[in-house]
Amino acid sequence: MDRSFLSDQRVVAASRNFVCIRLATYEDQQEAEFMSRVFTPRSGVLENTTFGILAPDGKRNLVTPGRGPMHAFRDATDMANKMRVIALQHPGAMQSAWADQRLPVMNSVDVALNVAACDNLPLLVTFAENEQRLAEINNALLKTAWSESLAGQFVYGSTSNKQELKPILGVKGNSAKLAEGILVVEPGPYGLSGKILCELPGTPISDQTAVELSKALASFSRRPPEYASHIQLGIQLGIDWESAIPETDQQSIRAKERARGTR
Amino acid sequence: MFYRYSLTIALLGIASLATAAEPTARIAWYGQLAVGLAEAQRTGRPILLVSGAPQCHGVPGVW
Repeated sequence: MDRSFLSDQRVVAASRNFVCIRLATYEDQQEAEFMSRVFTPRSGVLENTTFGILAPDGKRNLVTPGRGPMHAFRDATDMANKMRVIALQHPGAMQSAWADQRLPVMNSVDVALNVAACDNLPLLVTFAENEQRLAEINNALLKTAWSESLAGQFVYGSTSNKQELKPILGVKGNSAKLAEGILVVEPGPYGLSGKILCELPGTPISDQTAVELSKALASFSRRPPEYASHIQLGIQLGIDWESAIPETDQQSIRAKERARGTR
Repeated sequence: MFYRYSLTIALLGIASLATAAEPTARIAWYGQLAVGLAEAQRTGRPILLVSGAPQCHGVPGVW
């Protein structure tokens, strides 16, 4: 059985009528509390994964929540069909695809870089010297970011604090002199660093911006890591991701202790 | 453990598609709850919500 619910093209097509939110589980306390309200597992504490489909107010579950879509749907076909039915029950869903008014940035550049590595996607970072200017750049980028050809093709970060760009190799060069701009970054193997594939001005955002982003996307050649060897080498290298809030998934904590020989 | 691996397999499936010559259509994820909720309330679109820890055994770069 194909368990790739979220990459199934029928599910992807159905997702266009939804607001899709994917959170990094232990990187924000308020988000963790929200996820715990959506689905409380038998353990009573937030576990590593959560899945749900909610009403637009974010308060009502529309399907059985769980740790993954397999809790709610037989398979990807079932998921896509039920998503289409849910969309038909929400008039807003059928009218507003591709008209988003927010850039889908993550909470911080370092988490975005890690998530880009996890997804094997390029990271797009907008930066400026102050929040007002950053908001102007992000707003100018909306139409491009939510275009049919580019939506979902980047992980987004955004910052007015240049210190956040430190993990990105090459920022010491041209980008360090720039007050603002857009960087397309290829994440390193562990998402702790990245190299610049493309630098673009923050404004004006034009059709040429979309062309340049498409070129950067085409030049992205990173291969996804082999799972077991990635973990093994990461442990050998002493890499240990410190999440913003403590992990509470006891099964995962025990597995980590076993893998690292600390138990 | 089964659920974690199942979601991991799903997420790895997404990752492996990144190497295709033509970009494969993907879900466009909001990465911040507040922003996503505001957009859902503004548009009336229902919400597809997923969370995952971007590390395994403390090693980042994999779901």
